This record gives sequence, C-alpha cells and structure tokens, in this order.
Amino acid sequence: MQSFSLLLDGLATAITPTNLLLCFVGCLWGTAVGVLPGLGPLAGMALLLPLTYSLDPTGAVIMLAGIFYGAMYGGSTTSILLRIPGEAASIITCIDGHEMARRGRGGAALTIAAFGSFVGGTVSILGLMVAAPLLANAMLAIGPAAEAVLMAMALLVVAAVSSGPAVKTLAMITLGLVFATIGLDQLTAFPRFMFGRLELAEGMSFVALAIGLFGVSELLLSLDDAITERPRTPRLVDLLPTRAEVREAAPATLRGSLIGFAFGIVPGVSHIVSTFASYAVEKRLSRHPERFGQGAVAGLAGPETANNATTGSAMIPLLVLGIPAIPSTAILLSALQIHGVQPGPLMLSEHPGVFWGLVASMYVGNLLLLVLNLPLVGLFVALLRTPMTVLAPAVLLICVIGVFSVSASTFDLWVMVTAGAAGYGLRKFGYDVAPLLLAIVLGDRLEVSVRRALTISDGDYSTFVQGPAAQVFLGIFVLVGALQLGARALGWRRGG
Amino acid sequence: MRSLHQWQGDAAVGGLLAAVGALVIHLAQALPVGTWREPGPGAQPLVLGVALVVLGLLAALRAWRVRDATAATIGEPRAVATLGLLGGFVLLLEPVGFLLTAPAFLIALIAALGGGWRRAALIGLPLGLGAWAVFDRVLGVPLPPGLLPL
Repeated sequence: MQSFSLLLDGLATAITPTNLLLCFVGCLWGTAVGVLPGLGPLAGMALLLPLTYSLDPTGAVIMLAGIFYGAMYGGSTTSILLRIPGEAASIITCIDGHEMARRGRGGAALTIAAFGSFVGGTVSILGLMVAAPLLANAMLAIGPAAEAVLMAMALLVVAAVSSGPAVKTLAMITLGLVFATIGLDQLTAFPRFMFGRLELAEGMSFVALAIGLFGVSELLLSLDDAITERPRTPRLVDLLPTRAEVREAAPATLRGSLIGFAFGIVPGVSHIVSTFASYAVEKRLSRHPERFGQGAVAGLAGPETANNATTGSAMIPLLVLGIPAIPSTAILLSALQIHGVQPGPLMLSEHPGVFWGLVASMYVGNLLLLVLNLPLVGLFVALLRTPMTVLAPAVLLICVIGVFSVSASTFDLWVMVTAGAAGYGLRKFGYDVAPLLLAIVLGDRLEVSVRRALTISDGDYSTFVQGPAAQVFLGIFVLVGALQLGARALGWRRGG
Repeated sequence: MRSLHQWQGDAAVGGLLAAVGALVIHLAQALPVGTWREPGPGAQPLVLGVALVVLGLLAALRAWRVRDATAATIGEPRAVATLGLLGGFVLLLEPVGFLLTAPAFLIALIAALGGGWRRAALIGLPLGLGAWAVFDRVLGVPLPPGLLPL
C-alpha cells in the first residue's frame, strides 16, 4: 500500500529533532490556551502564526496543528478538575468528568480522557490516511462550477449549524465576503475598495484580522467578567482507573472514535455537535442511563474520544478539498498558503512531504500529549492562577509583535485593533465572528470560480446544478440540513 | 460605560451592518459591473452590498421582535482602557520605538487593570525588555527602533 510507505516517510520527517521540538512546543502552547478560559485554539494559533514564517512549511504546519489538538486536551483537563470548559468543545466533559472528580476519581477521569483522546486521534488519522488519497483523486476532476457550489455549500452549512440565529450568521458571512473583495480583482486586476492604500492591494492581512477578531476581542470580553474564584489545586491520587471503569470506558471510546470521525468530515459540523452526539448515544446504549450526570465513565470517555477524532477528520476537507471546515483549520489553510502550499486535491501529489509529515506528526503529537498531559496537570492548573491583569497585557504584546513581524507595517496593527474592537461589539450582541473569518478565507476563490464557470458556460447559470460533482455537494448540503433539523428536534443544543 | 438592554445593542449592530451594506453599494458604483452573463469586478460587491442591507435590517427587526431585555453593558472601563492603551501603543510604536513603548504599555495596562503600580513596574518592565531581547535580538524580528540609536 503506497499510503503506508509515504506515511513512514512522513514519520521520518516528523521525528527529526526540529520538527519534534516544534510539535512539542505546539502541543504545550495548545494545552495552555486550552486550559485558559477566553483563549481557544483559534487565538492560540493566530498568535503563533507569525512565528512560523521563518520555518519551512512542514515545520510550520506541524506546530500549528499541535496547538489545535493540544487545545482539545487542555480544555478537557480544566473541565474535569474545575468544571471550567477551557474551550467550547469540552462543555459536555464537565458533566460526568467533573462529577467523577468530585467523587475522588479525578485522576482516573484524566487518564480515561487522555487515553480516549489518544485512541480517537489515532482512529481519525488512520481514516485520514485511507480517505484522503481516494477523495483527492475524485476532486481532481471537478471544474470551477462544482468548486463554486462546494464553496457556497460549505458556507451555508456553517450558517445552518452555527450557534445563534441563522440571519446573524448569514450577515457575518456576507460581511466576510465583502472584506474578501478588498484589493485587486483577481481576474482583471481592477482595484476595489483600496482607498489608495497599497497595503490593501492583496486584501486585508488575514493574520491581523484573525488576531484582532479572535485574540484581541477575546481578551476584551474576558476582562468584562470579574474573575473572583481561584481554582484549587486538585490532588492527583490514583491516576489508574479501576478494572470496572476500564470495562465501561473501552466500548464508549471505540464508538466515540467513529462518531467523531464521521462528524469531522462534514464541513461546518464542529466538535460541539460530535461530542453531544456521542453523549446522547452513550446514554441511550447504557444499561444504567440514570448514572449519566452522576459521574458515568462512558459519558466521559465517549465525548472526549469523539472530540479528538473530530480534530483529525476535520483535516480532511482542509487538506483534500482546500476548504477549512472550521475556523481553526482556516488558520492552518492560510499558514500553508503563506508558505506557498495550496491545500487541495493537488497537495498530495505536489507536496507529499508536507502532507504526510503533518499526518505523522499528528500521530506523534497525540502520543506526546498522552505522556505529557498527566504529569504536567499541576503546571497547567498553576497557569490558571495567573491573574488576568498580567495575562492580558502580555498576550496583547504578543499580538502586536506577531502582526508587526509579518508586514512591518503599522497599518496592519490598526487593522488588528479595529478588528478587535469590532469583534468585541459583535460578539457581545450574539454575532459569531467565526463564519466571518471563514468567509474572508473562502471569498476570493468563491468569486473567481463563479466567474470562471460563467465564462466557460457562456453565461449559462444552470452550469451550477449540472454535473455529478455539483449534485453530490448539493446533496450533502440537503443531508446536513436534514440532520440539523433532526438534531434540533431531539433537543440537542445548537453548537458552533 | 453604558447600560442598555441586550436587544438594543443587537438591533444597533444590525442597523450598522445594513449601513455598511449601503456604503458598499455606494462604493461599488465606481466599479465596472459587467453583464449578467459575464459579471465584472463590481458585480459581487454589489450583490453582497444588497444582501448585507437586507440581512442587517432583518437582524435588527428580529432583535426588536424578540426584545431580549437582559441587561447589557458596552464600553466597560477595563475594556476601554485596554483598547485605548493598545491604540496609544500602536500610535507611538514607530516614532518612539518598541524598546520604550512596550514596557510603558505593559506597566500602564497592568496598573489600569487594577494590578497596582508596584506590581505593574515589577512585571511590566522586565517583560517589555525581555520581549525586545527575545524577538528583536534572538529571533530576528525587526522591531521599530524609534528614538533610540539601536
């Protein structure tokens, strides 16, 4: 099997000292931002993005991906020990995970969560390895019309599944598409909305926008909440789960892997949906559904596994279709583009080193996190004690340095400050800025493919519903819409 | 700081988005729209501008109909101070230089957030100087020298 030998090559890339160190730094920083409420994987990746410019593309993406899945681990640690979901995907872990900790099984809960995450990550990477080459071959055949449909569907799916009212999400997507038109028109080089500023010729700086919208606005929002409660350091007695706990966790872990993987492939369906789905399934299958909410091991193991499996499979639409399914992978996309690697069906043949290096490093990273996470729990809890009064200024300083280092221009810093203030206002009143960022990333390609398709079809708009590829994408959209309606009928909370 | 109901802010943001949409439509007039069969550079902005006006108004209307009366505030002193100091930092960064502005920014912000001047100086000064040393000297990120002959 060719994939397998390529994966071995990738493994060789991933365990070079430099890449191993980068993976380690990414995982550590990711766990830290996952632990800290207010800083999520997005802000964590946006902040370190500028530091990756001096690296080669493989190293850069290895580190950034490490932040992405590291944050998922960090979020579960604080959920279990302190009932604080460090990031949104761990909300469900708070229920039974924290209940286990309250009953003195906190150490076991951490082990089960870490091991579940490891299994989930492994399964999804195996899936990625098998599915990616097949999907990439299928994608090579599609033309601009189908590509336009795919992109539009990806954005609409985000609108359908995101938290909050659809009209707000659609407004954010539209605004993002407007921002994407700033700069020189890609087909005619006609300047649009540049106001004579040369800095805008290639559009607004993605880094400045991402750091402003997610880093700065997040900090401003977290300053609002008075932080009064100081976390207690938990005692980590007996990390080993009992035999009964293992027996309950094992099947839940396997089911969680499959659920998480399946949900991650669909663009726009995030970790929150997959964790809620896994919890619901475990509760239904359990012989003791009444123990859910009282520290049920399966209620912890399933969702934790699903969470990490989703992280791995969310890479599939990014790497194979070039479409970031969730905002975190949008940052990975822009990091790859900065290094001249265009994710998409050609990536596997044009940059196999980057692709397989990344896949292998995700495997190594999951192993690292498993080893790291348990002994370092005390350190991360201590991090939670850093007062916001010191943390916020320090993080803002990193933001400024990060944005400045990309372009050495104060113009981009003003973009960041403005985006931060705007993001603060928008989020305060229930507008999710993640779809905005996704639309900014996808806007260019959406417009270009629409116009190219119309040129090819000589202005015939029916080109967008013809051909098998376009119809498959439309079908997926209808399916996700139906799933979403079904999920709402079952009473799951809507997640973004 | 201003206190208001959640829906008022919600509606205001909707109105603001609609206004941005109107502005986009206005600015797009200067761009060649092309034809329906062959859209030019101005076509997509025009369509998006119209969509933004409609969606912004719909969002505002929705806010007004739901009337979420939860108390909300905008412009908390801590957030305003943070944004203000950040703006000042960016403004002075190039003319004055990173080495002088960064510690000043950190000290002022830690103090403004209620950390106390003593702690602000004890943490802010080494953090600012350290950041310069690490990024400018070690990692080779060129930070603006400003007034100092570096």
